[in-house]
Amino acid sequence: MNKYLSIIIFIFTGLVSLQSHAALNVAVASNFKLLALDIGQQFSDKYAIEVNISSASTGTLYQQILRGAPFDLFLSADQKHVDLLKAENKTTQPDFIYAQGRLVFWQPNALSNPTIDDFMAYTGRLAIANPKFAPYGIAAQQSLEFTNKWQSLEYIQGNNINQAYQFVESKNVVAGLVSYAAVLQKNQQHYLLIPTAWHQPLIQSGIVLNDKKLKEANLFRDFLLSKEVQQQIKSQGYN
Amino acid sequence: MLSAGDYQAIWLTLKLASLTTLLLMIIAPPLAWWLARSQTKIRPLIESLVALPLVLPPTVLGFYLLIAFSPEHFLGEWWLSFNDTSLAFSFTGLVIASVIYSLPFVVQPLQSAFVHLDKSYLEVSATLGYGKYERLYKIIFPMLLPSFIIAGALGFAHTIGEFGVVLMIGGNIPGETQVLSILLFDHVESLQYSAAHQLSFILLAFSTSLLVVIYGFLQKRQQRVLNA
Repeated sequence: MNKYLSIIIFIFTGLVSLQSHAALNVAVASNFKLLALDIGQQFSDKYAIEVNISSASTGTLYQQILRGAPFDLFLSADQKHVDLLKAENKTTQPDFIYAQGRLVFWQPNALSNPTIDDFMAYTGRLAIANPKFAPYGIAAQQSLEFTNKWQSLEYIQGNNINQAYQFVESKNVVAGLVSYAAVLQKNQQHYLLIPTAWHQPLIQSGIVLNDKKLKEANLFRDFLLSKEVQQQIKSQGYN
Repeated sequence: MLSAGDYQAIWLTLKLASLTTLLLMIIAPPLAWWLARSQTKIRPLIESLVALPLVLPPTVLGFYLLIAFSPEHFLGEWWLSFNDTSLAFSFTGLVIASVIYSLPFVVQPLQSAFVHLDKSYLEVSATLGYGKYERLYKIIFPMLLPSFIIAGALGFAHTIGEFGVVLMIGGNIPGETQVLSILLFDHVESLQYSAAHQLSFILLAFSTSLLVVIYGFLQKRQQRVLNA
């Protein structure tokens, strides 16, 4: 029995040590994943530092970090989870804003871009991200409450904003409040930019987590906040 | 303690598992019988299709169902011809998914029981003049009752434990598709840990008791057979 146990432990330690130590591990909220992959590649090309992008919902990543996941940098989809990590003393590094998201009302079967009047007149089912925890879902609920529409629609909730997007794209729901970045990236048509005054700003904040790779992590942060990369982020549907 | 939403999810989960088990207990026995007895060349193919949910990630099934349920495709289009809302994000959609997803858990115990069923019983009963259906109700069913109970219980328990498929085609609608495992995930994601603890414990306690009852039943039966 003990022999088996030691063999199993041996295999596991072997697997763990196989993991690359040199690479920078970046945890990215799922709405920013594709852009992060692209930016990570540019960063690797420029500085010869490998970047591993892990993506999940902000809440999931937060919990993984809280329980010791080996991430060096966290790019959240909100400010709240970054603040929570600081409150839990998971990092003493300063946080930074790397993007601000935009919400769109997307109705692919519309004949042209919907207007605010079209949005106000919309009835039936609407795909949104989960307003209990997903940042884009919270913004969606705030926008619908701001326009007094919250009570009048039925909601199909995605676990994150990309799933809400997928519900509409697969035609299972006629319309949704999704991210501007997603409709731009997929060249979709017939959407309305939701006025930013309708909800709290979709601040996407990031923070360096690991003191051991502080230099590389800070280098990545500076690269992310550089003029060119910020320009690219803006062109992809962020403010 | 538990919120109204929690109770709603518990009720919905039990409703889904019961209905799924009922449907499976109608579909699975003939299918298992055919798999146990048939010698045709397509049997391995059908057998594999039934077993697929055991090995495929639930996300694969969820992904394909979401496409199939879309009004752009045959199944979704056909459904919409006599319904107002799409199959995705509906209770009916979850039942269809659960039947597919839990099928092997019901078919396999039955199939194995049918394979090991001693043919002489059937032959003797035939010589006694029992018809096809009489043999089914008077011989096969009473003899294999434990296997039916185990098959049903496994199907039920597995449906309660379903998560990945529902996450993909459910849309998280309270009272319609927000089952226990999804609500639990919701609680964890929104950092409501005490609510998550309660639901997790209920699921753990329920699943453990159900399995203990099934395996205890099996053990007793085994002893009875050995003593006989």
